[in-house]
Amino acid sequence: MNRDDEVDEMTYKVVVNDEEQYSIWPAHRDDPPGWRAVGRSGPKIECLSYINDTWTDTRPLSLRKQRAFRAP
Amino acid sequence: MDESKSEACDTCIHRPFEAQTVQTPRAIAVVADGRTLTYCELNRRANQVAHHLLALGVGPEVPVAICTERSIEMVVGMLGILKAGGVYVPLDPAYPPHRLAFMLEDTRAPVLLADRRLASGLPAHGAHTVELDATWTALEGEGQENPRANVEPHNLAYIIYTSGSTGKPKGVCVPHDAALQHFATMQDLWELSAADRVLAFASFSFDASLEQIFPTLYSGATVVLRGADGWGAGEFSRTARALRLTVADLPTAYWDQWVQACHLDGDRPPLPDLRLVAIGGEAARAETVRRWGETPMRSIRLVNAYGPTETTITASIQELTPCLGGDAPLERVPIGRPLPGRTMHILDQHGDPVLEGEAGELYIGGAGLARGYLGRPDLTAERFVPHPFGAPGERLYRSGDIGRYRPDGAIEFLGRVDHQVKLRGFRIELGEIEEVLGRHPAVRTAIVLVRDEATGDRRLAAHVVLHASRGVAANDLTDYLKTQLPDYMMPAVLVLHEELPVNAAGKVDRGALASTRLSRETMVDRSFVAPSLTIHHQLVHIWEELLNVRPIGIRDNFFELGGHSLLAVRLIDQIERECGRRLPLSTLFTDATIDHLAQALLSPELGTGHGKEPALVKLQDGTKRPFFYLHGDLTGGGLYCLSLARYLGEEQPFYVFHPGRLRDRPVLPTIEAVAKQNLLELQAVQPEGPYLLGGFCDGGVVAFEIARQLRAQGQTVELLFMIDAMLPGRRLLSMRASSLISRLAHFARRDPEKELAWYLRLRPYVAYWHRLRRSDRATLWCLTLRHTRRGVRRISSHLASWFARRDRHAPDGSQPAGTPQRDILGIYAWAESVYDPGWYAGKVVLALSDEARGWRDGADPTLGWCNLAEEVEVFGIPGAHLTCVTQHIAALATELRKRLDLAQSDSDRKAISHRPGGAQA
Repeated sequence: MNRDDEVDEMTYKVVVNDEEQYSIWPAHRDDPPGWRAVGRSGPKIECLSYINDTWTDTRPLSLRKQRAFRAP
Repeated sequence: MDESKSEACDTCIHRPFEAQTVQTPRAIAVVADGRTLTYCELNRRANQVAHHLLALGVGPEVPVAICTERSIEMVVGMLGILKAGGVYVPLDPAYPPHRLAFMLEDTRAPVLLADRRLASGLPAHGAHTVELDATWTALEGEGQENPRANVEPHNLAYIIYTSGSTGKPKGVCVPHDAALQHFATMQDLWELSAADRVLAFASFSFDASLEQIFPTLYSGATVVLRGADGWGAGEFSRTARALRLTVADLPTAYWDQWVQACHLDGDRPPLPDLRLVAIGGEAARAETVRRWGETPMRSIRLVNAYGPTETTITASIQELTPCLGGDAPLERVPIGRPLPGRTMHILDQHGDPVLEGEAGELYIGGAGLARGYLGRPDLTAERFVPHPFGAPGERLYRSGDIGRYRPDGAIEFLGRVDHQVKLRGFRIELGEIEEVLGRHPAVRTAIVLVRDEATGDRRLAAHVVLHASRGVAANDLTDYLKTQLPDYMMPAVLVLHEELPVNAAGKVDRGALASTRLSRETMVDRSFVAPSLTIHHQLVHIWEELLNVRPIGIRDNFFELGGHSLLAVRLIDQIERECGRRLPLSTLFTDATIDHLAQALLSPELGTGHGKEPALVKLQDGTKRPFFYLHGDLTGGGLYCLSLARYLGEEQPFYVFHPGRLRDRPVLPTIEAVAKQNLLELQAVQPEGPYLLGGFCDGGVVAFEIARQLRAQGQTVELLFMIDAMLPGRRLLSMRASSLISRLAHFARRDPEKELAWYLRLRPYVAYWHRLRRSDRATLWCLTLRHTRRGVRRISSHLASWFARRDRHAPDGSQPAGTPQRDILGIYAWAESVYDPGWYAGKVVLALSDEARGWRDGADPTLGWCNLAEEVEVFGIPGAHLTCVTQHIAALATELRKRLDLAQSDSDRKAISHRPGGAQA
């Protein structure tokens, strides 16, 4: 996204859903349905950087659980 | 039907094909370049590939790259990968090797299926290569039955790369369930049956290709692969007829060209077999849809499809056939309504749904969302956002597209979020400029983008394709645009093309356009005069580098070739560096051509201060009363006046005073003296009032004095427009200290010229001390370093000149060579500190920038001018002191224009009423 001269000044918080998918949400708003805050907030860049380090497996949780049941 | 569909959706994308093979084994599945494969043959060969891959360890979530020419083998390989449970990663052989290498490394695919020739062309990679053409015979030995791979619907089916607007391409990861749901939907939507012959036009590296293949294979129909030859848009009718295509999904740009060609062949018989044409990939033009309706093609079902890769190929469609004819012609081709299983929302910047007709960003939800971007959880989190009012845990994909609802509920695509660019402080919709251009009858296609030149400069470039029969010159289009667009939206460059470059997806390749070399012939229609002197060649070289246009003639105007005021400063710097002489910026005012610059450079009078540069320069002519302006840009060249002049309109003559000539005058440079000198020159142009005056900063103070002197002569001043003019005496501490010293000197009856000289000497030190008090440590350090360097330099040059000249300094206190700028600032500062303005019995219009409004102390918003003038009107303009005339000049220009128009009409009225026998006011 190429918006020069524009820096998103809003504060965001890191949220996660039941499938352990991460995203960001404006910090001052209530958590959206089915999503919960993990406790990290700040400028967008920081939130995304945290997610970059934390969200290592993008497979949905339900898929990972299924695989765990199957014999290797 | 529905029940089995939902069961089918609970599986992987190759299974319905396998089921279909059982039903119609001998139906033709794929046709390519004359070769065919039946369903059971295709299935068998794909199974062989799959078993081979399974033996290599391929399984769920394991990416397998495939790089072959578009052919039957490609389809076989694709299905083979999926059947093995792997993730299909297509690599387009047309891509440059480094991009393919990047994709291989990014996916960490352990296996690559490739033709031998293509495999050898790739840079080193870690994947195990299966050479398809060599191995086919080897694969004969593999099992032919459907393999049992334990791949699940949530597992990935494919990774398709999309290019971002900046930086590296991103791999979009789509799972089986999303893709399957989509293919089932498309199968219904296209009403596919075993009798269909569906064109697979798209390159395999684009997800559209999957939409063209899988629904077809689910229905027992035939996939017709686009071959290498004979697929020009103009020949499409012939090709489609020969191949007996029934369904064609085409890139919009290709379809557009085809329709243009159709129109010329208006009386050819329609294609009897073709029943459905779907288009997508970029915004369709309403004009082309209208034209389609006028051709024999109109009876063919036409559908517009929209969707990003991140939401599985297509998100929404609009049936266009019902829109043809009728009394309400389309202005914009809508993208329609979301497909079953998907949702689309248009939200404003707060995330709330928009009202009908209001524009907002398109968010897409539903079952078609990709898992995310490969290896980019941060990007994934940024683009796949929580659904603010959906099912718990649901996500929406931010498309980056702008849309709005039509009254009938269909969605219109308005442009990209990043087609809104900011250029020099202005927000510009590229699409808007494109639309304006498109309305010109001669224009067929127009693309506007921002060019980033190697010099770091950014400017708007318009690329236009004309209708073949109309011959207009780029000049005509530029003139047309001038009547339609505000100054800041004017493209600096307008290039005519025969046709626009198109990328592998069939879309206009904006990247290629942005980097094309600009050639003079395609830009402006000027008489070219070749450079003849060495100096010409030097200058041409500098211009070519800065403007990125060639060839350049010596009569070409710098600004018409795409230059602007910021670039002009760089030009002067560059000329100084290469030719050793610094041209005054006013040289460009008088004539911005190489011819004139060369003359100025060759003139022996340059640099001695006795050159023939006029103080008063006419920027533009016109029919109205002239406006005289003191630009107050003591160290620059006041080049912002060039844009200001454009804003004021063509009919407004605009004269600019340069402050720089004080140095060489044997007269003490007081404000009164400067004003008197300027007044003489002003009256040489306009002997009688009423006068229109303006000035910025120090120029404003001089303008005030000129106005006073004019009134003293009995003349009328209709407008005195001052911008950020600081009342003399209300100055910074440093000024006050210096003026105090000078007054002391005056009291001691020293020579006022010596007084000025002392003032100039002391001023830097007082200013420095003032800054010291206000600085933090880092700035302190920088300042100290800088001033030490300067101090050393100044001392050494003082010594040098003392030895060289050994007489008193010139009356205007000029320092030895090396610091001309300091002169002029110091001179004006001194002049203002001793200026004692008298009463002005007229009106002052005072525009104050945000910064200037902070200069006042106390409750007086007029910065004290109300004590000196009969009437003061003060208002604010946006920006800081320096930026209110550059970045934010639009607001200032609007106000100035308003006042000028008012003053012009006032003076006209007065002229009429005073005319003997004229109408009474």
